[in-house]
Amino acid sequence: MEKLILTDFFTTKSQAVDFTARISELSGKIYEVDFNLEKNLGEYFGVKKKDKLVSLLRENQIPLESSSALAKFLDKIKDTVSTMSTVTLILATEPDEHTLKTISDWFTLNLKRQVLLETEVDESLVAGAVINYQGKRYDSSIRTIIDEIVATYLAKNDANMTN
Amino acid sequence: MSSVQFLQIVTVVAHTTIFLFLIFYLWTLNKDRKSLEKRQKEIEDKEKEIENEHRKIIDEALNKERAILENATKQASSMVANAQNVSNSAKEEVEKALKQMVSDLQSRASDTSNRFADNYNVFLNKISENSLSNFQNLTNNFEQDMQKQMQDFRNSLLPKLQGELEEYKMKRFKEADKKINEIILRVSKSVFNKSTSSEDHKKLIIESLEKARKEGLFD
Repeated sequence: MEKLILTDFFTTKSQAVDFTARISELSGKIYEVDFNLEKNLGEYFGVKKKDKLVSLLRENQIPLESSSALAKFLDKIKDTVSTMSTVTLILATEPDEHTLKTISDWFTLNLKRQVLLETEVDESLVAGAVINYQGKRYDSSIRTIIDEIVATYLAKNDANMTN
Repeated sequence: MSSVQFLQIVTVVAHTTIFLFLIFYLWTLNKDRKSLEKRQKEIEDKEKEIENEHRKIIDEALNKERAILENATKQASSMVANAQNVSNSAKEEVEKALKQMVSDLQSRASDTSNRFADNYNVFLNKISENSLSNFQNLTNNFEQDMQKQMQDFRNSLLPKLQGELEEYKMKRFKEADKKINEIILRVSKSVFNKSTSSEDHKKLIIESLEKARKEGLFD
């Protein structure tokens, strides 16, 4: 089964939770007599995301008039979201939507899968990021680099003073 | 003699009898009155006699009482006068005795103080002799203690003090290092904020992700 990439709809974990809730509500309306897909997509996701969702359905060859096919695809979206892993990023500044999309795309491109981002802000990092993934941590912030430089300098200085 | 005549005779006799009875009654009554008046007079005379006797007795009692009081007053005055004499003489005796006692006490106190002064002088002399000797001993002990303490200080306290100084120095160095680090961080942050755009921040984040991938964080 081909993996779905949903970075156009959400990048963070909280956005994914909100998106899944809306998908569930939409699923409940599919079998209503006067159900109108485009109208409901517009109401639940807004104009931009509605168009992207319609494109996604077409890319995946889902017949828009078939309620059962539609329901099955929406379930697939929910399953895909539930299997996504979470990456926590500690950053020096609050990231904007564009930055989050770039990061999310980097994961899709390099790891061949979408992840859900969780972000925290720690200004003392100066720049760079501290990355937490599945219990592992990687720190490549500027603060750590400065700390290492200063510690090396002070160690040398101490050694000179002792001699 | 007819019954009318008889009735008249009876009536006359009856009236006469009543008349005679009344005369007799009045005579008896007068007699009793006179007897009563006589007795009342006798009683009044008796009362007067008793009253005179009573007055006489009271006068005699008052005279006797007055005589007793006068006598008692005389005796009391005499006693008071005697008591005054006794008191004065006793007072003189007591004063004499007190003067004697004071004189004796002064004499004894003088003796005691003289003896006490002598003893005190002897005691002071003994103390000063002992003190000089003790002072010499104390000085020697003090010198020995000082030498021992100096030795202890060199052996144990000095190295401990040097260790503490070293520890303090290291602590201060660490604090200084921390301070230097904070200053450098603050300056770096300020420089980065001024010189780094959001695009640069994004690039740095992506670089971090690249490094993390190379380090195998996402494997």
